[in-house]
Amino acid sequence: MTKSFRTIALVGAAALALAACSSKKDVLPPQAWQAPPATPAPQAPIDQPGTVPPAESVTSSDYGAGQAGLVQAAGSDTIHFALDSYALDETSRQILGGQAEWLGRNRATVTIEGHADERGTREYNLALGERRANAARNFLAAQGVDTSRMSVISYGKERPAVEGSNEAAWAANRRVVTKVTGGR
Amino acid sequence: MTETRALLIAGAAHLALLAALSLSLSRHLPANPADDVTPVEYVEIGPQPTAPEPPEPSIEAAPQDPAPPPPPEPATPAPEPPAPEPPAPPVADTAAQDAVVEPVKQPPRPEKPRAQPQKADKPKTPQQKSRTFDTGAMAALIDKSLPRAAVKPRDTSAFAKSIEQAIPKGARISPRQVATLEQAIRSQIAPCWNPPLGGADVANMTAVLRIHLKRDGTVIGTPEFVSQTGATASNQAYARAFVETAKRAVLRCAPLDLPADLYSYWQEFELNFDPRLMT
Amino acid sequence: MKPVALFALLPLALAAPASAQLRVDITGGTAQPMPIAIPAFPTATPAPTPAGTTDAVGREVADIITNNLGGTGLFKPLPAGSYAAPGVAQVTAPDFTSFRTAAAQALVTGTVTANPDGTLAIGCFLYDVFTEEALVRRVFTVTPAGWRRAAHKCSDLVYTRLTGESGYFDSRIVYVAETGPRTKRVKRLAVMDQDGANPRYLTSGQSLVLMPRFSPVSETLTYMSFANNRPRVMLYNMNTGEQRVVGNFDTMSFAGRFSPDGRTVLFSVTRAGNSDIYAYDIASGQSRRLTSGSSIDTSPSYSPDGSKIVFESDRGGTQQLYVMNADGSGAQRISFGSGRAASPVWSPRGDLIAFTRMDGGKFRIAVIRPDGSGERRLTDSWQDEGPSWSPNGRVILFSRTDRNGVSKLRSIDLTGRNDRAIPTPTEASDPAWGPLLP
Repeated sequence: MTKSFRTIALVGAAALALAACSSKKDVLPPQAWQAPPATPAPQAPIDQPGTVPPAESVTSSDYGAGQAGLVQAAGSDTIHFALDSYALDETSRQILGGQAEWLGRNRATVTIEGHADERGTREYNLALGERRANAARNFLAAQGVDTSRMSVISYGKERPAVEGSNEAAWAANRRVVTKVTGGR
Repeated sequence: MTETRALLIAGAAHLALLAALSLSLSRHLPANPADDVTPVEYVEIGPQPTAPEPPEPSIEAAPQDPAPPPPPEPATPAPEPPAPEPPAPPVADTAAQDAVVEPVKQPPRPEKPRAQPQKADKPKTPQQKSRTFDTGAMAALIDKSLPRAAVKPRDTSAFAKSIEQAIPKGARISPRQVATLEQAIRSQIAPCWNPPLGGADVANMTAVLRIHLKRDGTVIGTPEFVSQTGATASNQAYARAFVETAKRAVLRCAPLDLPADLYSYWQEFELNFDPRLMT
Repeated sequence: MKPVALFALLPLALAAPASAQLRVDITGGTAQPMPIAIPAFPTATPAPTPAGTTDAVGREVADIITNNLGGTGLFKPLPAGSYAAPGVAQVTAPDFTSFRTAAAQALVTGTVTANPDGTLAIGCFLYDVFTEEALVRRVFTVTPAGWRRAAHKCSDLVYTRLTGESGYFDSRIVYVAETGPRTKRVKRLAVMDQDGANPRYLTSGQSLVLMPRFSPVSETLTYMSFANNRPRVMLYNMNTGEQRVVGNFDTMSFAGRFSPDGRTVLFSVTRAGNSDIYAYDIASGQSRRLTSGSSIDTSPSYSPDGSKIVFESDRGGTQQLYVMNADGSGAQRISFGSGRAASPVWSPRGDLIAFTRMDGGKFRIAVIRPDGSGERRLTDSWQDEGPSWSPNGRVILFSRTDRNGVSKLRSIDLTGRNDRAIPTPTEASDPAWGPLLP
């Protein structure tokens, strides 16, 4: 009984949030979002030979409620790019606009990750990923987000979102992801 | 016969021979890629009745060896010591010292092959000279009256002998026979030659070897190094490897199958190894 | 009459008998591998050692040399049954007839002896089968753990003596070992002998690592690490385990490579979406910027004399190769033609630059002269990239990814021949060839 009530409440809240999105009104979701305590950046020493590998973790982002909030507000945490390009298309600008707005309402910090598809050499793709991430950050900054809240990292072609050697996979991998890393 | 007439006849014969022989000497100036020697080329120049071979050089160019005696040979012992001596302990190992022990016999060994080619040329010539005529007095005459050749004159006695044979009998080898002989030699040795594939340095090298064959086509001894081009101080290792591949080519494909009746022409000859048309 | 007679004979002495002596031009040969006999190295008395019994070591030494020399494509090791295997006495006085019958042109042999102090003495004798000359006579004394290096050093001696090239067999390769799903790839630094033996992991996989390269003079690597979410170029001493960050930048640094004297590390640093090349002096820790402008400048590589740097840049619109002076001045584009060019590496011989040519949807390994002329595409596969030269500048190591995304290491001779696989226990990428070991 309680469960279904909660579900309805959440759905209702989501609907309200979305409605708030589309009308671009300054409406807070029903419950103030409590960010989980920020995990400190790992203080582990630089890799020593012979240590046992723990579970994979190369980013410090936390895919928790904050991320969900960002996604809800902006429609997506990911924007995509054309081949070899770091230009923001209309869709990207809209999504980033939504993110900027959310960031205006939530004092969260983000890491902007830049990626490239596999059809490029390793070094260049690292730089291209960085260009893409920078383009997104600059846009967000222009929308009023304080640059001190944003950090940029590029993974080049090392972290594809989708496996595959075809146009669809490549298009999906040419992306920038805004990851919420902490909040206050 | 009066002395004057004798002198005149001698002089005329002298001039005729000079003319004939000067024509025959051009045969071995650096040839253009006339490997596909066709009889036509020889016909143009025209065979001379008294000359075994047709073409024309100048006397000044006469006894020219293309290059001074073997440069790489003296360097033979040199590359061995500088080659990596004590292998250092690998990363994971404890510091054990690796040492190289060189057998004492090593230094004298390279002397033997090196001395060989030089010995072969020099002692032979004076010996044979003394067998046929006393060239001492003549040498004095030559030195004074003619431009000095850059390198020692070739062995003249064998040629003198062949001239003696050629003049009375008028026997000669035709240009076509020469071409066929060359082609036979080339087609038998070229497939056995693996030049080093070292890139720019080796592509521009050449080497000349002299070989002596028995009637059955087998090689007497090992091919003799005559000269080499393209060797510099910095490519000695390539230079040596290059010459060795040439020697190996000959030994691999011996015995050669060549016309027995022309044996006098192929009992001793030179090979110029030049990789410019490498497949 | 005498003077007249002498005078008449004058022309005979003058006329050099050059015309009587045939000279035949051999203007072509064949590029066939040289048949070579490498029998198992015999031992006087089989004795146990930590590396195995001496006769077993003798067999393996011959196998290593066979693999090394055969793998060059320049030699054809003959099967063991085609000649009479030499015993210890024949090592110093071989019976060449048996090898000539087998059509071998050269013979490599040696003996293995266990020394009382625990070391091994491994001989290395090279004979020319036709002239019967001994071309190499060496004995290597090694620890039981290092016996493979004696086989590699022997291979280098034989290779050098017969081809004139300097060797490359006693060397190592560092690369990135890859495991796991492609979306969450675990990458670790790994080192192995150039023939694939003795693989060893240097990092745990906890952090993403890329682009490892050897120092030419010391047991040090430079590589890129994402530890602590800070992508940076590191220096790593393999003996002591000591690590150091190259430079002190807030932004990403990547693509590190040592200078030929081992004293400088060239690398790229990003700044506002662009990247520039810096030179880091290891002794002082100071970095100097070499390029500027709003382009991606990366993948720098010194010429062997240290006077020039080749790098890739998209300053002209697409990735192309440029050569500049070591101080950053005078950059000139050297790659033209269709497609793009990236990841250039200058050969240790100085005569060529290897790089990745991207054209028509394919990534190929190509070489070009430093003045930009004579480009040759050596491979023709889906995605070949990241070339690295062997110490003698003859062989190019690279990584090949197939259409299923599987990455492995391969090597190819600079003439375009002999494209072969380099064995690794896992998938592999970003290979770099280390120097010849002293």
